[in-house]
Amino acid sequence: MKKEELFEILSEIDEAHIEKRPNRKRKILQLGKALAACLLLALTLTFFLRETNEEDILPRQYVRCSWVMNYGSMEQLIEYSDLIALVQVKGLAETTGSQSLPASIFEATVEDAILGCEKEDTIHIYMSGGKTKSNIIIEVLSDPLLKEGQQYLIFASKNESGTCTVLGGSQGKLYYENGLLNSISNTTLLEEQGISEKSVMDCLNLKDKPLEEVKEKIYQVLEK
Amino acid sequence: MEDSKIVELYWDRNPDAIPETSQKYGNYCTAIARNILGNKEDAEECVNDTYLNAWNSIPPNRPFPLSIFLGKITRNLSFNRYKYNRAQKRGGGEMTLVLDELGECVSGEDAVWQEINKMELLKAINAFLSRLSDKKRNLFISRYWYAESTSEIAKRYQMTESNINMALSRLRKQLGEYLAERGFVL
Repeated sequence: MKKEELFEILSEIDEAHIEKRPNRKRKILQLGKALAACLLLALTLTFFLRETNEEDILPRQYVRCSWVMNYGSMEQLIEYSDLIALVQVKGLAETTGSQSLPASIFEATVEDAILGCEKEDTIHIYMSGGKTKSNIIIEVLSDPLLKEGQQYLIFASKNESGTCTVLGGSQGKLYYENGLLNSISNTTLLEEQGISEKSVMDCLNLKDKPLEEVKEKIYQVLEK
Repeated sequence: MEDSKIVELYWDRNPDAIPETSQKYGNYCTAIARNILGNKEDAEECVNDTYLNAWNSIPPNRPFPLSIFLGKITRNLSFNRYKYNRAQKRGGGEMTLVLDELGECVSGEDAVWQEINKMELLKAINAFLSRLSDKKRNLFISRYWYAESTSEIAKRYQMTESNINMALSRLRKQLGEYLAERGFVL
């Protein structure tokens, strides 16, 4: 193959891989004109800001709600993931969202990278729920907030903001302990919330599965 | 103006679509064209052709994000112009270096690549990119999609140019190995 052909093929890569660029400003001002431009800018700034639609100048970020989709099988979950990894939660990095529905951003370290990340990467996991200013913890039923120090195998999707969101709420988040993986509904996490029945969203329903076995399955699907 | 509103202008066949596109994405497209062509006049021509292409393809397309859609058109038009210029022994810019680097991943031999094989190769490249960390993937894209100079990339990532060259060299090697393991003899 010729190098030119490879360059042309790269044109067609998945758009999700292509990092957006801010529109560069033209260097139209000569140095001597710069001061005059600054002065003009200062004089008109107030007027300009008043006339500009606020929505056009504010940065906008899109995130997925953690329980927005329900996945019917592990294959489907893997197919929609762009980050799969065994992570350890370091702690809460930020609480965001509104007071009526806060959202938490947890910081986690990648301990075993499978897709879209590398070992020892620090990732930020966005999820709905968290602590309000009035010290109430709002938590989505069946989708417990991540616990500091806990390890999870996560199936996640990357957000434009640089965070990622676990897919399918509790579906894409497997509890890891002593080399074994369990679906959230097979742990005591939901029982702590007083829920005894299994989550209807729990397509994987893993119970005491060795990590290596699950990884092998993931790689098989990814290879396809 | 928001992308969705600009796209609506195209759908309404409203000529304002072009100046609005130019105002929002003109510099973005010009930067891509200049990276590839290394010359202002040709770059401007390719950017104008980009608007014409966008006008002809929206509708039926409703691109999102609009920036990447336009960037892709500019990239293709500019690369075609680059090949023409090179045949006329004109210009070069950053592109010659970018291509030389990509040359490390291929044999350089003429071979008939069926469309179906190209699709498979594209799929494998996408899978390779998915496995990279965001930073490494963006580095790869900066160089081999946007054709940016290593000094520009170094500035953006606050790294030295030699570190960027080293990282790109590793990425090329990894890509070559990844494709070879999957049976692609390029």
